[in-house]
Amino acid sequence: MKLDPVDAVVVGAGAGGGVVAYVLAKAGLRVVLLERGRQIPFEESGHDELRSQRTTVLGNAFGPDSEQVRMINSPLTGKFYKVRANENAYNNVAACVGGGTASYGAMAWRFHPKDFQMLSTYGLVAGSTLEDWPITYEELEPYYEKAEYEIGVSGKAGSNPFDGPRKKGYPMPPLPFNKEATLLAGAARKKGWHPFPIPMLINSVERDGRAGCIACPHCVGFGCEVDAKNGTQNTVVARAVKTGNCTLLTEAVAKEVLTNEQGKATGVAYFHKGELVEQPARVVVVACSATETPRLLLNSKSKMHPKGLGNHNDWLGRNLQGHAYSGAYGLFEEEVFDGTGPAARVALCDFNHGNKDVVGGSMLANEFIRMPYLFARGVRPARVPRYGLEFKKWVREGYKRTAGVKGPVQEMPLWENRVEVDEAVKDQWGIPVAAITTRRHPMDAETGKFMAERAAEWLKAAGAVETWLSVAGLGGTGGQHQAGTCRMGKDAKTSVTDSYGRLHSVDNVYVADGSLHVTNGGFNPSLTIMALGFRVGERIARDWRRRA
Amino acid sequence: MSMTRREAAAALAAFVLPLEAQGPAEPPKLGFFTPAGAKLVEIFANVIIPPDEYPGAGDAGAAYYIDKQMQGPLKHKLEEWRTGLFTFNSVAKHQFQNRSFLLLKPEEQKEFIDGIAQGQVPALRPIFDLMYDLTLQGYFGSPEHGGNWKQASWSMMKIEDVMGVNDHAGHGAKGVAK
Repeated sequence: MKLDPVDAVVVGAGAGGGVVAYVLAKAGLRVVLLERGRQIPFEESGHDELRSQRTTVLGNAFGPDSEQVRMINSPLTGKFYKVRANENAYNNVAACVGGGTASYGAMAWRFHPKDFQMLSTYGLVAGSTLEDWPITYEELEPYYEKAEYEIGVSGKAGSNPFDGPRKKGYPMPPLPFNKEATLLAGAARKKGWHPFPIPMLINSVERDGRAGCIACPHCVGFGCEVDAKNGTQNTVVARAVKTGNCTLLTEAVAKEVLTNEQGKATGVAYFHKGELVEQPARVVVVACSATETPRLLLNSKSKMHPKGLGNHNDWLGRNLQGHAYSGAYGLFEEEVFDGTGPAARVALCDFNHGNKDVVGGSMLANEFIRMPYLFARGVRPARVPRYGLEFKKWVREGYKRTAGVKGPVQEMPLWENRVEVDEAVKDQWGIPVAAITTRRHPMDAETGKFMAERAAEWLKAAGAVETWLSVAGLGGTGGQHQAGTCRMGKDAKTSVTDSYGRLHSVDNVYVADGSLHVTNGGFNPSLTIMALGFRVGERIARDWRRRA
Repeated sequence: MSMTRREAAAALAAFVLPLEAQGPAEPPKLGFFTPAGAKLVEIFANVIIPPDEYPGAGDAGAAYYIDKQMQGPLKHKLEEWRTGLFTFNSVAKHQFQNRSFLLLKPEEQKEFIDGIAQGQVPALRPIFDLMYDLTLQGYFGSPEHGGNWKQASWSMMKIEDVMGVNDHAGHGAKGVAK
């Protein structure tokens, strides 16, 4: 079935695509926003740890269904094997309206100015494709501000001395410290470090007709029962639809970006309720995540684009990054758990850059409330066995006395880390699935160890009687913070898109998700993806007005 | 899909877990496990998390969790599970002069499981890891899924007041803003 043409099709209603659809609809373009998943109401997802976004052993509450598969290159054997969507190695980021923002922890980080200039700051790193972004922090700053105001961030401007300059404060005051954060903040100050309340995409006060946070313990990995967590699903996507210019179509699975004889995009083909539909459009925006975006573009082959759309130089799908999460746990004499969420409340940026002998670093923050199964699976000092009475005693006595501090450590981008498609393995719609290869650079482990030691130092200063490190291994990366696979750049020979997310080789196709990140910062990436979404959207709208 | 809807309906109907979801008064019917199979899992789970003043994982319904999930979301693990248990039983028989695992003394059963955990029987490592993980899921997950009877683990960790709750707002969560 072929539909009437629209101005723009946006594929993916997550952090990036939701924003672009909003900007375009507001500018008067007629937009179709395709989303492979559904709206997930809180009443459906609930507070079930085993079906949350963090623990998916019984399925992904926010999609996709467990029958979806990918081929993953095993770090152990070097061979590809089939992985289901609810298994960790799948690298899932959710398939629903809002994407990951429907259930994320909602930390609202701006990247550090140096995060945009990693090559200039550190020089070449052997084996890595480390590079500067084609834009600076200053160029992205106005769009960070838009994201903070349009989507809603609570925080305390000026509380982090390492922040890049900002023109405006946050639209909402910060959430209060919990017991753990109060303890850690005091200890950090004594050490001469600079703790501050984490900026969050969570309402600290009622805003825009939705409630303020009630400090419930179920936050990261869950939908919010009072809708105080701000994702794209309850802000920009809803507003885009409200303009009357944007049609949100759920359970629409994109098959390929269609192109004409000249190689220009003409629209998107997608499956909806078993039917193949063609949606013609003047502009196509691909915002499906750093693993699904390259998959869709690689699956959009034609005579003019034999290696896939935007893949003129074999850079598409490469440089897949995540974060080499590292940190430490500390056991305290007294209980530090007070049951109030979101629990991750205090951070410091003293170690994002300038660390001796390593490249980059990360912010350090205390952890979200650990759910019981995840705690039992993974949090215990080496002296405690993994089963038996002593293990049980540990869970009972250690749970409320343990605090964790960790950070999303920057990874060195690697050319070999990539998303391909496997023509021989197809999903239920007959579309070749993603095949993913990821390893970590040895530097990531060095940086991770450095950060873990700082985390332990912090916990000890706060009174931990025992600490143990958790350092990222050299195996797979990607995961929840996947990025990098459609690198932005000024040089069309060594990047996939220009600095506005437009494919170098097709002038009416844009990318608007974490794929654009040249490097992935030492922070959770959502706010940066949103900011880029505003920047990409405004560029498309500006060009549109000029042409009209 | 029906699974999702049923759970959704359950969540809607009662924001706090209803009494019957906190654990049955009597063990529910088993679906695919034979009583012997369930017994084996119960013994295993009680080695992983033994009873003390709080119930062990086996006593808190680990077998019922696995039984239920193997007919639902974990259906694809069924083959691995069956093959693994067959090997588990065969190796045990071989090691203990043809006596089956269920007929061993409790200390022999524990000795056998410890041996696997220490890597003495590499062939049994995969089934150990699977049973171990499922035991923890059953014990620490929501009772809705068939294990953690009467919120055994949550009550042991003193978090039963917050874990099974889908309506913190209605249960007086400390609001920072209303």
